Amino acid sequence: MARIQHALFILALALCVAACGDDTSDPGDSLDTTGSAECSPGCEGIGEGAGSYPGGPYASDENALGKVLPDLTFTTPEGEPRSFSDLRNAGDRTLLLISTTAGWCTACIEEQPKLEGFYQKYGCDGLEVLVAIFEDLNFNPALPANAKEWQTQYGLSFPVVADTDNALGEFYDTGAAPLNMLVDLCTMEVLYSGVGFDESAVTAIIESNLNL
Amino acid sequence: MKKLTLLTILTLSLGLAITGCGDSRDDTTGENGTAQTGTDAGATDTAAAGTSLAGEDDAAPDEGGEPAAACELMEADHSLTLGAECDAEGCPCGEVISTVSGVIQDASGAPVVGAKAQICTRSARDGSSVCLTPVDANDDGSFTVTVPSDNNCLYEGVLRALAPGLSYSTAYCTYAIADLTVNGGVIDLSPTPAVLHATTAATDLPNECFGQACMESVDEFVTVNFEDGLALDVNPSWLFNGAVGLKDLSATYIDGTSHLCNGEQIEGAPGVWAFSPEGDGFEIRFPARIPDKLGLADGTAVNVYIQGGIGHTIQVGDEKTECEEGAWTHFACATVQDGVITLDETNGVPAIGWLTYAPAE
Repeated sequence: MARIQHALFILALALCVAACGDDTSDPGDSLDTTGSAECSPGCEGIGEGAGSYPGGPYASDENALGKVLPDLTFTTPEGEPRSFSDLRNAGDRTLLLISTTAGWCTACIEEQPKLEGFYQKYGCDGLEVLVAIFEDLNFNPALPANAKEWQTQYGLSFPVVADTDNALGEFYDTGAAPLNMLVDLCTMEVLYSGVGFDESAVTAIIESNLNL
Repeated sequence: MKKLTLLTILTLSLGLAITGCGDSRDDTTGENGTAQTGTDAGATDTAAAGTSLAGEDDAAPDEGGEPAAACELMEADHSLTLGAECDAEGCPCGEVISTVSGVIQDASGAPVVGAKAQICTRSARDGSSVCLTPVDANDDGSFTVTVPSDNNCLYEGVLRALAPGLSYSTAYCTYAIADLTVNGGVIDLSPTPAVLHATTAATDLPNECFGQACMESVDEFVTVNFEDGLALDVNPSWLFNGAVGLKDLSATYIDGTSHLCNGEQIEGAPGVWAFSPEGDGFEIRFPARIPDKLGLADGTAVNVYIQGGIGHTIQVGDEKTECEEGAWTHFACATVQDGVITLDETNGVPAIGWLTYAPAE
């Protein structure tokens, strides 16, 4: 019965998001979204067939604020590669909230409901959320199965990917987690970067950049 | 040492309808538990929590025919809100910490090869949390964790000591910074080592049930027996433990309170069971048969507890709430019959980590 309830919950979430034009019936594959007129149309230069990823110079260290993120590639819960380019090509979002996590990170667990809340509240205004898990519970590099378990365990309807090589770790002080980073999906410029979850700061930047 | 006199602590009502998970301090005694959170949560009777918590169905009536008083469960509330005055220069509501050191050892006092220390902290500026990058313990069991300067104004913390991939329990030690001695930004926890107890593989783990393959394919309860008579019915598809599965599931019974690195213990408990690896039952409960170590008479009402571990939750009806790491959570009421405390699917073990029971008042 519990499983049925969970499935119904996921279905309800998917229907809710689909109503905004976002095809997330499979949460683990929601980077394959194609957008809809009901949602924010995105910005000029992104979307399917929009062309090349923004050029450098790219961020290369912890001082990523104001710089352009390189086109990193992660792995979906199904084992498929997903890059920032894929995300931009979806075309219906203009702002990306990236949050790193690890299986051992209690602070990250606390943050998940808030991230889901952001996604539900601002998704149709153009916010995409991406959680990247870089280590499992035993500090091993995260695998797609860890991304799948994380997404299921915390009932997340936005993409969760495995960052097996901890590629995002290059752009913040990895002495602590989680990283929360806001990125302009049009320019891939980092608008905010902080370790921990400063909810008021993140909210302010989201609303400012989505013109809310 | 600074006193946190400026704190404005507001306990929010996150768990108003979700009783049974989180803080159960009225049932416990402690030296330095994190009493800042949830201390004013009121008792809620079991009926309000729903019979799925097994209060009415399983609790033995007392002599007057009323349900056992100990089957009242506490509201969950782990939130911490600090006043605006705390977000100021100089860390007025906490301490600036640069390093935390300590010792991890086994029950004999020997270091554990492969042990790691991982610390999560709560900010004394805004109450937010971060987890510091885990470190390896040295050959002598000592460890030192560096606190990043951007997140060094601390209010409280939890040390999680473990030996990944090995058959040892995970230790959770909770600290309120105000209760610790801080010397020049340094906290030394070594006077009270974190103890990892060696666990023994289950005596009866179904052969078909190995690791992740089992998690994917077996969506039914399988009985896992341990050496002292403890038995759990685990559904591998609903055991969330980092995709490790069941193949290494092990446990040990620890008499008395030697398991404690600090803080709370359950009054009247005979000891505790510790499991390795940890795991969360997600949305289901695992039925269990717990051998009574106290020789209680048939019909004696007992309260059953788990200690919160990473990602541990309790499902009550349609609601799920997270358990506070290192805090004992009263999750079920039951009775002793023929030397066994039996929990079923409605009031079973919600997460595998630490388990104990104590007679009701």
